[in-house]
Amino acid sequence: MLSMSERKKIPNPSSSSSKGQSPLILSFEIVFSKFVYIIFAAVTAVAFSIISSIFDQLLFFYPIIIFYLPDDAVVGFILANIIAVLLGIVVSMNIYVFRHSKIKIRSPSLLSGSSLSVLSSICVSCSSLGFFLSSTLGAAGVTASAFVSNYQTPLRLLSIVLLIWAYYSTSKKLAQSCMKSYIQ
Amino acid sequence: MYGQKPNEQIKTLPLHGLIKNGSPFLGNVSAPIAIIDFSDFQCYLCNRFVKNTEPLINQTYIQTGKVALVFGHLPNRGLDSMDAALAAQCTNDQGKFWQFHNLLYSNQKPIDSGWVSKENLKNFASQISGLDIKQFNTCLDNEKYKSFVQKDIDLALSFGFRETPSFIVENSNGSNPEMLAGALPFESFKAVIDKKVSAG
Repeated sequence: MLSMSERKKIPNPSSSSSKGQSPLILSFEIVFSKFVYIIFAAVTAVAFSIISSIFDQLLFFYPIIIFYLPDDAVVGFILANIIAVLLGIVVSMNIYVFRHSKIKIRSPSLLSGSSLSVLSSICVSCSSLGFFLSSTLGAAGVTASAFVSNYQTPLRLLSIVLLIWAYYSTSKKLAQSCMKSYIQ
Repeated sequence: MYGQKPNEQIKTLPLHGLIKNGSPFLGNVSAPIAIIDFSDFQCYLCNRFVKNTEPLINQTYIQTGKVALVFGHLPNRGLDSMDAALAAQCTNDQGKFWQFHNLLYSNQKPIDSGWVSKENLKNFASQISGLDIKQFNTCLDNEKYKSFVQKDIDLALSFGFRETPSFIVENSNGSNPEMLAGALPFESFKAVIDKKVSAG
């Protein structure tokens, strides 16, 4: 349940300025009107971007610190950064929800979206995993790691879709929760 | 791990020993520095290295006689990787390894999609001028270099390499090895090689 002070800060969902406004935009405005959630989102996005650049072998720390973006990595890099931004927004919104609302938002797509993002990034450099899988699962492990490597781009696109879905469902329920809170 | 210092248990790999044992190499036998590249023909990060970094190393250090590049097999990306390694080693018998190496990387397709099936490997080999295809086919069908490739794999694993591409940059007598993992850019190799050159 929102506190009185928080109710005053958020836009009135039934006011003329909010009428007809999409819950996607409304909930975005509610969450990111607070600086701390912008920080949450930025930290998550930057952290994910750095981790994915390491796994994509674009960022190296040894023998020198260097970032480089060869032609074959451009598409993957763009997709990874779209995922990073979406992940930052979704994580931040969910933190807001968990901190401010008694309504539990069941958002399985948050988990599956972010898990898939991480998995697809890790599996760009799949030989370590491939070796692990092949030594534990034999041929099936090699086949599994080859599959994940081959379908890295579709997996990232799937991650983006799942994160958009997570954003949509979170923001819709957040807007509904705020409406209820405001009415009460 | 994308870069690591060698541990004390590492054995020495002198350049002349590797060449004598039949490892494919590029450059001058008397080059003061050797780079041992453990790669898989199905690995797209290895392809990234071949397309972006190797030409610069070749131009700057191999052509000038400072570095020799030795190829080590680490076929762990897919089920067809071993056949590709065996085929490549067969072409080395006839001094055509690097042509075959470049041909495979320039035609690389998704892992285990059939692009390095035995039949396709024979087709690739037939595109290399001057290669005795009959001799190549016999070599590949008999898996002549299976134990050779397995030794390369064991060697790579003994260095702790689990991913491709992985590299050892060392003095050609095998001393002062430095291990690098990943499709590093030229600048990373330059930093290591220049340090070794200046150290004499």
